[in-house]
Amino acid sequence: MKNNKNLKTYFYNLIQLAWTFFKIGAITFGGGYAMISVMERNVAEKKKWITHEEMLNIVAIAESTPGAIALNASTFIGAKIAGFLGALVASLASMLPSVLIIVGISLLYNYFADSQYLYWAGLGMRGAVAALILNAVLNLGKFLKTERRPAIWAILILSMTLSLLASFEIIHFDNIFIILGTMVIGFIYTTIDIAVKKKKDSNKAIDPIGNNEDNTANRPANVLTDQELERNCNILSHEKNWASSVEQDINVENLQNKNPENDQSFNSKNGGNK
Amino acid sequence: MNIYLDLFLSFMKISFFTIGGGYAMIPLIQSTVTEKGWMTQDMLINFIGIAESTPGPFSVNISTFVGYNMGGALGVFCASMGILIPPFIIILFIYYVGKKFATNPYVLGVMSFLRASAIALIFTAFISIAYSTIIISNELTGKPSFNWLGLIIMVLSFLGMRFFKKIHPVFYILISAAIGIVFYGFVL
Repeated sequence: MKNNKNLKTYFYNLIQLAWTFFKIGAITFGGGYAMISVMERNVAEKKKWITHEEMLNIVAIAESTPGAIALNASTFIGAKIAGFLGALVASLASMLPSVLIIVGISLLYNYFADSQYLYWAGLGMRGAVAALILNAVLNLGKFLKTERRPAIWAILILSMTLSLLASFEIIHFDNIFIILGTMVIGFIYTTIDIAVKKKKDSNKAIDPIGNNEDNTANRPANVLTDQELERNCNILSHEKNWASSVEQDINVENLQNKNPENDQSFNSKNGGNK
Repeated sequence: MNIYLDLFLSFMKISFFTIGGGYAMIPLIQSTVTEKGWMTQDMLINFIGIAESTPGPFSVNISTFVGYNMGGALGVFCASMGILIPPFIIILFIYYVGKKFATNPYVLGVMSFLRASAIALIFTAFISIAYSTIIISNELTGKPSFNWLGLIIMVLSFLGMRFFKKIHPVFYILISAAIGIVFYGFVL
């Protein structure tokens, strides 16, 4: 009897989960971070299924794993709420609206494929699409402002040269090799870096000044640095304008208050781990 | 190869090898779909504009579009499962086994390198799209010509996106499509 009731609540939760993620998938234009910030509002603030801190961690995980960020976040949130089935339901539900809409668009596109108007519209649109991509490059490249490691810059320049050469068909190879090569080089560099830091740490007694720079290598494994937390907070509130222009009735002020500067309790809780 | 299997495997590869999501996927999608002859460069650029104006993640939009054109409903299913499955398995693995994945120093180290090469790849995608914008070949004769209007639209919408961040990018896509119809169709 009790088991039966649990099963009922479980299915009720699944249906709620599906509906919530279906709505999120249907209303967020621009994908990615725009979707994450809507997710934060709906799943963390309205439904209170997860906390704001958990959401920050989910963003970090969704970013550092392959695939679409929004989809990864839905999978993770789904798993957190209702296990394997929850993950499946949440990710499929958030995909479904765009699948349906694009199938509709494909029908229209094929119907008008030979239309002169579509050709002209496409030609005009190209400039805006190019601008969109350049804008994405600049947004994603913000971290380079503070990047001082020459190895990162070397990888950047090397991958750019190789991919440009491949793009203009001067040399022939798959972009995937750039990504694989970067993974290998990155791993070797990180391994050496961590080993060197460890050695430096053990010499600290001799070196009274000490190297107190905040490094990813020698901090506890389960905490984000302040910088990272701040960045993830910004991601959550980032593009809020885009999202809100789509969904006027949702209140974004709550999200803005989550900036680490404004939220003292949040800051002090996570601030002491340098 | 069977088209369904090909769709599934290609999108699985794209999904597995793009970290960072969204526009980071464009370089791999571009090389895959143009090499397989699923889409032309021009069609892809049009579709990026369309995807920006419709809800949902870019990867899902493009996999559905290609899947539908190449193999109908089953094609959509195969392509979107290809997009979903690799991250799905990895996320579940992290959820059940490796909760500390995102803060692991090795992962963070490799990630900072991957971010750099992702930017390089997207920049290359930008160069190739900008090239297709500025140099267009005549529909009938195939003769290349310089597209002043495209360059102007590109510069203006880029400045707009940088300085008026409150305006959604869809606005620029729609306006420039309208400008395209008016100018290429009736003025030029």
